[in-house]
Parts: sequence; C-alpha cells; structure tokens
Amino acid sequence: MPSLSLRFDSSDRPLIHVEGKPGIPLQPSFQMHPPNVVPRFAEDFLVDTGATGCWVEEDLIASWHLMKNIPMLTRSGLKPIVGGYAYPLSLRFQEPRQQDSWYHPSWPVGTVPAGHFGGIARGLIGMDLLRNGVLHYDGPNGTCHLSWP
Amino acid sequence: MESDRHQVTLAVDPNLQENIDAFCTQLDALISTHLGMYVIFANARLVKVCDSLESAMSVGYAQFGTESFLVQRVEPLRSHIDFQATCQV
Repeated sequence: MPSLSLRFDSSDRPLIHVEGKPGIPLQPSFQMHPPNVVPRFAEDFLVDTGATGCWVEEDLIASWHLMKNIPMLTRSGLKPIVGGYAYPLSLRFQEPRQQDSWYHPSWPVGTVPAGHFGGIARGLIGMDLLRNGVLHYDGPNGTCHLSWP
Repeated sequence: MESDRHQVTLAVDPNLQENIDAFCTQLDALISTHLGMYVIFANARLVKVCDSLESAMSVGYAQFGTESFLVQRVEPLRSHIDFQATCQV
C-alpha cells in the first residue's frame, strides 16, 4: 500500500501537506474563464481522528467564489438549519521528499474563520476521509504513517 | 464543531432553501433506499441519485450551471456540526 510518513506540530499532533483546488467537476469552469487558471493552495493540515469532517480556513478559498451547493444541515427543533457550507475540493496529500501521494478528486470541505488554527495549520483532515485509509500513530517512537489502498 | 454550542443560523438563498425543504421532507424515505448516496435537488425536486460527490457535482453543474441546486449525502441529520474544539490553537 502507498503511504506517507507524517510530521508533527509542537503538540505532537500529526500534520500533512495538502494541495487543494476546486473539485474536478468545477475545474473546467476555471479553465474556460480568465485568467484560465485553476486556483490552488498548498498548506499544512492537521490530521484529526476526533473530527468527523474536513475543514479549511476560509480565506484560502474565498477568492474562488465557489457556489453554495452543499449546506451543512443540522437538526434544530422542528426545522433543520444551515450551519455552514461545504465546498467540493480536490485534495492531494503529499509530503516533501516522499514519493507517494493520496488524491481525492472532489471532497466536501467546510470552512472555519481565517486564523482558526493559529498558524500551526490551515485546515484539518477528519474521519470522513481518514476512514478510507490506515492511520498508524506510534507515540513512543514518534511516528505516524498514513496508508491507503 | 463540537464546538458549536453557539450555533449560528445563516441566511439562505430562497431557491436553495426550497431544495433543502424538499430534501428534508424526503430524507426518511431516501435513507431507507439510498443511504450513503448523494442526491441532487433542484426546483424543489429530486433530480438524481449518485454514488459519489464528484459524480453529483458533475451532474449538477452540467444540468444547472450556475443556477441553484442542492447536493446532499443521504444520512441522518446531525444534531451539531462535529468538530473538535480542542483543535483550536
């Protein structure tokens, strides 16, 4: 299985380098309209088995003006409410000087305010995505490996 | 966010709200038949059931372009947006 060896922040939380773009279904629209470039970011994200979903600081994608097609609905009394929006992003996990990368062509990612992660990271990878792989965290030896089929 | 003890209600585009209402009305039935799939709603009607978000977004953009449409995964609604407050630095 391909795998990546992850880094850690100062609190021993695993970090992964993520290249994000609009999801594959959205990319032709960017290619067809000036400046005819698919926007991207490349930032460190936290890997968090305690979060159910994936999140990104909103300033990273605000200028992309993605449509709000995926409201995050939550149960509240009799009527569900919209707690935020997720956006379909293509995500590639890749670590410096490592060969493998894990690519997701279109994954729902919610937004949090800019600076939410205090500069340590710019987003978070949660269980909805991690459950498709194998995460091996070895605290005593200070290693964390992410593998996928 | 497991955080979201102070949940905010966002203003929603009326067309999108119509699709949300239609989705919620049909959610129980969809769960019994299409759990884990992705659905597209437009003009307050179920348009298509897809097996991935990528497929649903492709169909949605192909059929509706920049017009309002809704994509949702068929699953029970959560009682809160699930996010670890401990992840905040």
